[in-house]
Amino acid sequence: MRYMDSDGVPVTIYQPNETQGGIIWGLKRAATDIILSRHVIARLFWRDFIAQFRQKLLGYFWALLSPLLGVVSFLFLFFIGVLHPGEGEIPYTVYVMVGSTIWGCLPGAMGAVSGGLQAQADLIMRTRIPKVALALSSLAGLFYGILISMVTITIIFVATGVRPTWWLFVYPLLALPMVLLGTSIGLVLSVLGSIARDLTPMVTQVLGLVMYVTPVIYVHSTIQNAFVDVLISWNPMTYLVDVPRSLICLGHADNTSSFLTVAMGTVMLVAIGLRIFYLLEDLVAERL
Amino acid sequence: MPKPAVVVEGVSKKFGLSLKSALKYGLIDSGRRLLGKEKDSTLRPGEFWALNDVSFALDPGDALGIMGVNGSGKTTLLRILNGTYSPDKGKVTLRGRIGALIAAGAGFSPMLTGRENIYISGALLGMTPSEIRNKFDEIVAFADLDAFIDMPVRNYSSGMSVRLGFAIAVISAPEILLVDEVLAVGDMSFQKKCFERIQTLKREGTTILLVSHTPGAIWAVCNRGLFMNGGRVVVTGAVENVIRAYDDQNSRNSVKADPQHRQGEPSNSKSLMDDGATTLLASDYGNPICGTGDVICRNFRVTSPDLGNTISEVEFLEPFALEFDMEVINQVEDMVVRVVGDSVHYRNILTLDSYEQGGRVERMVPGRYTIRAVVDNQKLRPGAYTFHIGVIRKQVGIHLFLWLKCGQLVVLNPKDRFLYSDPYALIHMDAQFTFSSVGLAESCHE
Repeated sequence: MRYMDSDGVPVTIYQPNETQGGIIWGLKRAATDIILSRHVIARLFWRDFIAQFRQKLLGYFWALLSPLLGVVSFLFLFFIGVLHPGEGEIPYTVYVMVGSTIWGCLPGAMGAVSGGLQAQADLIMRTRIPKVALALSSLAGLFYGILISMVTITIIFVATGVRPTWWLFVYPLLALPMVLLGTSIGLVLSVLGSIARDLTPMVTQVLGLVMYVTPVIYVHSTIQNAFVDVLISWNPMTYLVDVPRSLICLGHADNTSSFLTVAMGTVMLVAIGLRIFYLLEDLVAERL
Repeated sequence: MPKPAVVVEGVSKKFGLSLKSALKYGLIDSGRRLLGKEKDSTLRPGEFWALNDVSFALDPGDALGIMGVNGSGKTTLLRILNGTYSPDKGKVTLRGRIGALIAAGAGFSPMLTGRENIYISGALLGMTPSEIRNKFDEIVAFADLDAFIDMPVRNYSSGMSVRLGFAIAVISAPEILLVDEVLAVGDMSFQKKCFERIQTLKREGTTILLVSHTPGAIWAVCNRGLFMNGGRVVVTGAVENVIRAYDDQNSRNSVKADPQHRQGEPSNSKSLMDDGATTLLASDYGNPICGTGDVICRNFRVTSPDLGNTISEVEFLEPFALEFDMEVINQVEDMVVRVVGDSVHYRNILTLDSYEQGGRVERMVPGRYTIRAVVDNQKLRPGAYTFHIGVIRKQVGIHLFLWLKCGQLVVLNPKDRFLYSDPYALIHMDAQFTFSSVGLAESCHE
């Protein structure tokens, strides 16, 4: 607990069971922690960004190239005729590029947040930065990646002769629910994953499977199997990928209400993730 | 009266003894907390108290030296004060901005320049960008790195890195400074600068908690001490008492930790004595006990010369006696008995030889004897000492019997004087110091 006393001196109190509170308490605490450590988050982001591209042959070009490399395998399978994603209004190259970039926000956010504490173990042991700030500072890299992928998507649009809609300008906002979902899972994994080390790899594997019941690389309407069709319809991530992609490529989308409902749900999940994080965060340092 | 800067009340912290128990209790504790239950503050099987009921309070400007052997809980205490670990019991209250000087220079980004790293490390220590900008020149000047501040840190020498890390931490001027072993870094003149800066912080009211194994550093900086052992506070108060307690504990531990000593005694001597089987005696050097079989020594002990009881520790300058039993199996002419002593850092630092001491033995007929050597004026400095027995014949160039590490003795620190100067020194000699002026520097005349 931290507060200013009547003399204006900051007082810090450490005692057991400090983190007993509700969901709202968790959100308030996270807001306080993030505001207090905003300078650190900014500096860490800047450090990682600069260090990432220094002394590399292609430099900042890597940032543009890496989203494209992510879909090369699907495009290869498509163009040699192995992959039959179904006919849609959007050219497949653009379809898979936009879809997989939005999907990539989920494992990206989850991996960044869950690995954030492990990666910053040295800072946890040496400094007094709130752990939530360290976990979330890793997300800065993801947001930077989202901005870069906007440029890459634009290049793909131009290359394929497709004209993007104005929705492309709010792409970060459209991808935000996916980021929030990944963040909520990542927050829980960042603490539980330090106790049971195999938990994060397990969830990563499961996510890889979930991608195949989400219309990322194929068109939903072409699915013949009734069971898989129901599974895709009930999968909330279907709407988090499909609706933003349709808006960006076509300017309109079905199921926008489902998208908004799921998006609200991801906000709730982040609140729950934060609460669980604060309940268990002190177990992390003991296991680094 | 100022409010205390640091108050630690009955703080305890437990850890699992193994990774298996850490995983098990980690999952159980996670489940408990998710169900809204409080921490389990009892000790469960497979756990130990790393910190047990620790309490103290410090006023602004106090400097506390925390000492203890490895595993005593001092780093755990520092980590609780730094907010890294949460206590399982008790409460910590800290008044003021807290700075931590733990592994100075570690965590620098090697690809970034010194300038860039100052901004990052400053932010990590809780400084705002404007504070860092204001103190930037002071940090660079303190670290003495003006010419290299725009060079990538990976091209810095290790000394340059730690100087920069230390400069950032001390120039940030916290109200409570937690220091783990990195009180002074770099070359001698920079270390002097570090100490002077720490003293300035103290004068300005910074409360310092210093964890260190170096008595000299603790004594130089701290006015109070805390000696910990097994997670508990054993001695608290004047820093000199704490350093004495730490030094004595180190001596005791070095006696316990000597595996060759445990191997040499008492199991081997017992088998030799009980079985009477002289064939068990090794006939080659390189064994803890070896000899020709003409003589066998057993039951080495350090005793009190007055009371005769066996002792393992003596006070500083207190007399002691060395005794052992000897069985002469074959008659020995011109026997010489010798006890040689080692210290922790050096071998053969003393020898008590019966011939040198004027105790000539022309003939030892078969039978059982007790040998006793009284040391009336011992001048050993505090520490741990190990003894070896050798029995020789004047005319024969080998040992008739040799018993390595047959016994040990701890010389304790005196209560009435503070022997801090050199842990490697072995002998204490009284001396009278005089300070006579033979000409003052000009600046002193003004």
